[in-house]
Amino acid sequence: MGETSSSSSHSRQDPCVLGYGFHGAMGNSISPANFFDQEGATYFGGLEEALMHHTPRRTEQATTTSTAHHGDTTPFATAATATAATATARPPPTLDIFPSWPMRSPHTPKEGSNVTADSTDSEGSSKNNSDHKASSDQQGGVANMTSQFDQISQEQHKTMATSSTHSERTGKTLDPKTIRRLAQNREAARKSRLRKKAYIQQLESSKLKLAQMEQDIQRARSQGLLLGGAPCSNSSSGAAMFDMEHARWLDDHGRRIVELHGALQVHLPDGDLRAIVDNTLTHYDELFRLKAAMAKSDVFHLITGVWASPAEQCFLWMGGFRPSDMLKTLLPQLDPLTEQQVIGICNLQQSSQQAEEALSQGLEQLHQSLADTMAGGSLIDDANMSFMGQMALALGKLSNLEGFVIQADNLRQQTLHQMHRILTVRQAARCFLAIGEYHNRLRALSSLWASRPREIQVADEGNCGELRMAAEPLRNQFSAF
Amino acid sequence: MMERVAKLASERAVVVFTASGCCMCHAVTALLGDLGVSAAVHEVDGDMERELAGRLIGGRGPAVPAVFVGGELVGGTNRVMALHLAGELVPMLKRAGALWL
Repeated sequence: MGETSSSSSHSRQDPCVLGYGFHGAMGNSISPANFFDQEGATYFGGLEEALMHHTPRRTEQATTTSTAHHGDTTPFATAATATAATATARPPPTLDIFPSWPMRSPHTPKEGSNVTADSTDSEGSSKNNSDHKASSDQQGGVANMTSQFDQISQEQHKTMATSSTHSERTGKTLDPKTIRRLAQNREAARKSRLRKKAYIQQLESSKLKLAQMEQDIQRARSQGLLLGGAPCSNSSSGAAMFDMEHARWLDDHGRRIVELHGALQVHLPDGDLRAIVDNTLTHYDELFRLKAAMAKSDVFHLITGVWASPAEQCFLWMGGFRPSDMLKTLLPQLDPLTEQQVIGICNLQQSSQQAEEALSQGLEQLHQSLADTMAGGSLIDDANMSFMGQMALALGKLSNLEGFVIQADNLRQQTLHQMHRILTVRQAARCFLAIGEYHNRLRALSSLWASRPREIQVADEGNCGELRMAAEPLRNQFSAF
Repeated sequence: MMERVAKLASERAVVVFTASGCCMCHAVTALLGDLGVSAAVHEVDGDMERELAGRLIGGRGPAVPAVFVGGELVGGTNRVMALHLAGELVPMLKRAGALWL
């Protein structure tokens, strides 16, 4: 660490990384004693250390900004010079998530007089004042961090206050006070770094949560504000629970796929492979159990498919994949197959198609029946008269919807079981791999589509939040390179 | 009551008990029709429906549609679909004489 030189750093070229709202990039013209006294160099030393090392390239550019700012930012001047103070060796680079931070600047001996003036005030008050000014000038959502730094600074200020003569801090002295102060610098720097890390994690998780909440809101909106308070909240919490469980299932599934893949690669004996394949099938059964429970609690959530990725939603049939389509995709992937197997799979495909067709017809009848109920009575004259009656009727009919989604899932489950029966162990393993990979690609397609670079239209109310969300991670990912 | 059901069930090779407005019943009869079966469809009223549910399906799941093939109860939608995907429904229908070829 570079604390050994912190006391003298003001006399050297110094970065003025002024994160968190210190908009003036200050040179460090201040005499050493002053800014150490006033700003608790240790506090800023920590900040400095934590922030500076990803912006070394900005050093040159900062010069002009520092001169520009210095006039109107006296309190910042003091603060800034404190950050400037700590020239250090190269600590490990920290996460550059605030690319808009002002740049480091070599010290420019201009602010000296201003700062000196400040320093003549009583130590405690001037320190507090400049700190508070500094924090109050925060922009962006970093007030939190600032208050944390404030805490550090106040800690440091207390320590500072106890040390007797600050005028002793001239040049590179290694008197006990300096040593202690340097140690405190290190400590403060470490704490700053930890807090910064924690803060970043907080930000990231909040961001994810926000995106999730926005999705939930859109979903709730699309489900109809008609539902009112209690039912709506029930369904959305059930839906959220399902989404979470589904995500967990997907994770689990991914692991099994990897296991299957590995087992095939190493040519595991059939007995062992069979166990893995059977487990995968059982795992699918769990998914259908999950969905059946969800269908009873909130069939709309399943059937609208918001729990699936957009590309999957595109192909959604009654809340999931269409079995005959899946079989059509799988057949060429599973070569070589015996003739009997091919016939078996073709028959399965045909049966599934017939069953799907029958279910679709049934659903179509339900739609028609519902539509008739919704339009029952008059929609125009005395619409209110028939409202509740029709609603009651419709609610009764809606309960049939569950049955269809459950039957559709039943078809899917039966298809998988039949394939498992028709195929050999090895073929079945490859079959599951193929299904997994296919859905994987659909999900990947959805992500790529969501994060493709594009203009963010603020006017587009429905999407702009998500668009912004989608674009930002991409930008942040690449800014580090 | 159940004798009446049994009697109706043996009148034809394939007998389906439905309820009015039951769309799943429509799906099952559509499937059977697709397969070329000429099934006898009987709409049951509330009481009979409840009886059916109790006796046939053990209370789990909807009472209708209830499918009888060759006078024997096959089951509800779930069972019929599973049998069909397993490739066993058509042979069963043939055995009962509901299908030729």
